[in-house]
Amino acid sequence: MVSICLAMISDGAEQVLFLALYAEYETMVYQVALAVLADPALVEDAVQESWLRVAISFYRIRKLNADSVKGYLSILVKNVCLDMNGKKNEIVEEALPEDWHAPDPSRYTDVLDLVTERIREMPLQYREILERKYILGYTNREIAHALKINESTVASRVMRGRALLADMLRKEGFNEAGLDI
Amino acid sequence: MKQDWTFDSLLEQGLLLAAAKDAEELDPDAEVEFSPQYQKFRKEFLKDPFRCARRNKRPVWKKVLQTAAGLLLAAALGLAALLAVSSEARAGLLQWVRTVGDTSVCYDFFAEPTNQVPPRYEIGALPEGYVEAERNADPKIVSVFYRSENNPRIYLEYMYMEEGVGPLLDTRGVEVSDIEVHGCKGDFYYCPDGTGSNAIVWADETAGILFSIDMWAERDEILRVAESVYLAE
Repeated sequence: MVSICLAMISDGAEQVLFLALYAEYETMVYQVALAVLADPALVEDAVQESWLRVAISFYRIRKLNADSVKGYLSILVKNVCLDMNGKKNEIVEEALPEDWHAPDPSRYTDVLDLVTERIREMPLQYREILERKYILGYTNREIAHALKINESTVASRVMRGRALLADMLRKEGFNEAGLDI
Repeated sequence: MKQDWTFDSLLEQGLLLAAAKDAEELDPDAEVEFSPQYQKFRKEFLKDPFRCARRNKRPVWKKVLQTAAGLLLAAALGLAALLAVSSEARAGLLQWVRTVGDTSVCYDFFAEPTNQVPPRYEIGALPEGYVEAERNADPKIVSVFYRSENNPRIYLEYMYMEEGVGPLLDTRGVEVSDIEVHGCKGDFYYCPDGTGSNAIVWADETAGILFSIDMWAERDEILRVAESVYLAE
């Protein structure tokens, strides 16, 4: 497996690195799109649009370490598919559960594992907004436009998602790890 | 091993790793057979992916800025304080305002929302080889995407000039000049260094619709296409 170290990119080598990125993740991008869209007729269009956006946002991707590249691409593709298919309108409004089943912290090697699993359990309406804002760099206005909700709703969900994660960390006693919440 | 985190960095890493784990649960060894059409795109794309992406990027007004120096709400400052005002304001009532800032142009509309999808408009004089490939109703903004096998895309977009849908255009690196489309006041957005497409935005106040044509072409060609836009239903 090609291991891409984007942090060591040099001027003039961008295209070579992009080609390596494409070669490594072409199948994964397709699989993510297929998982969201299901319709093969739309999948290739989504894949095409996704790679165009990857090229546009390559300046952002090149700052990520190799482990994060996979996650970024997955989030980007997922959002392309959701925008294309209008599935944003199908997200069922659900209350963020106050009593999330707290994972046993001893299962995790560090706080990052715990947060990662918590995010995977998070209702889609919150996770999608956090991904668009913190990973893809969209403004609240752009997110509101894409999801057809008010900007105030976007801001509210961002705050609520952050607050719940922060509360979970406090309850698990991670403050003393130097975590500045 | 404990590690020092800030909450934001932890959140970002968590989001990335969560998405990566989701992707890993898909079938990583699946054989993918791409269509001849996609293979053709891939071949062209990988020759110069950055140039290809620039030529296909979304219309100017899809890029929304977080702040704009000249972005002012008419209601807050009073109409006389605006930098640029529609000279076609209806008697006794200003329906829309175009505000020119340092890095953006913003269109604000004040008519009551109709909550209706605008009717179907089409380009009558499409350049040779182009076909309508996609049409999406937002529902407030209708976006039509025209594709040609060997040429950059053309976008036609339009919306009712009603409260809640005013676009904000990123004008960094773009020259803005006046233009008229069949007597309707408009703006020509020109990218002088050729790294972006050009666009004409014009307001048909009779129809109450703001139109935009975004394409990789010079002013006269875009104007010709803009003037061919017609009501198809």
